Amino acid sequence: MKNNLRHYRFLCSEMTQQDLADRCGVTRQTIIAVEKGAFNPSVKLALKMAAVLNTTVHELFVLHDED
Amino acid sequence: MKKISISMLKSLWLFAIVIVTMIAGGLPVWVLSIFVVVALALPLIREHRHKTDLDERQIHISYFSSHIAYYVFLSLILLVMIREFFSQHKEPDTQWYMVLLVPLVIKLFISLFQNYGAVTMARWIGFIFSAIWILFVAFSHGFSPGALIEAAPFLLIGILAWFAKKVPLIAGIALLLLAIGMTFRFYPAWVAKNFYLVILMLSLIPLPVTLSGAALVWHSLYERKQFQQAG
Repeated sequence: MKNNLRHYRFLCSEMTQQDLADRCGVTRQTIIAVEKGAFNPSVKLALKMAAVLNTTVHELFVLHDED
Repeated sequence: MKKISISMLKSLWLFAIVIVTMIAGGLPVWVLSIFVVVALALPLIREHRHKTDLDERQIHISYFSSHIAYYVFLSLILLVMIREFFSQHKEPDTQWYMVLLVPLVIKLFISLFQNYGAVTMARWIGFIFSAIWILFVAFSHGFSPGALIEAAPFLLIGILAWFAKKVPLIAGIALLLLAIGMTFRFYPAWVAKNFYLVILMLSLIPLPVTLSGAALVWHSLYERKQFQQAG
């Protein structure tokens, strides 16, 4: 699965990872892990991220063909 | 709670465990027991209280690391048992069987419950449990009237498991009563032998029946509550 988290963070006034983490109620390490693709967020967290970044879950997370 | 405070608490917890381990020999058993319970309970409480400071990834990491640690623990127990068997040419002591089997039984229950729900878990436990113990009775006593009497409670468990889908509350209460009866019936024989045997046999005989019964009762009451709320 690919994600556009970093791209949308920068679109939101270059929001930092810490800022996004604080607004989503998670640690910065979790945001880093999600951006790297090392951790798949729950539906709840994905929806929170989309809401904070003023976008949709489908824009943030994209399934690869092999997924 | 601030992150700095949490890190300090974690460090203090680890420090306390190291200190107590070093001086354990000089402490009364009751102090050690309380300490062990509190030390083990604290991380669990931290993960599962309503406003935990851990996020989903940290909880996932905690579960995954515990999972790996459990299999390492299992491997070490098996290593000790096999080594003792070959070096001393006798069966390993009861406490090793207790340490090996009780966590496995707990893991089985939790996995079945979370994967399939209360009713299926109770039925599977009931069927497997009654089949294993009926076979055990048959192999140890043969197919005799005495064996039939001894196998009767386990046959009853199998029958209750069969009916659990249709009348879960009745089956659940019956299983709970059966578990109490089995405990009173077998406990004097176990306690006469060995403390560890008591824990092992309680986990292998009344505990599965109790958990199945409790799961069925809980499921019935939960369904009833859901129905009332929907109505």
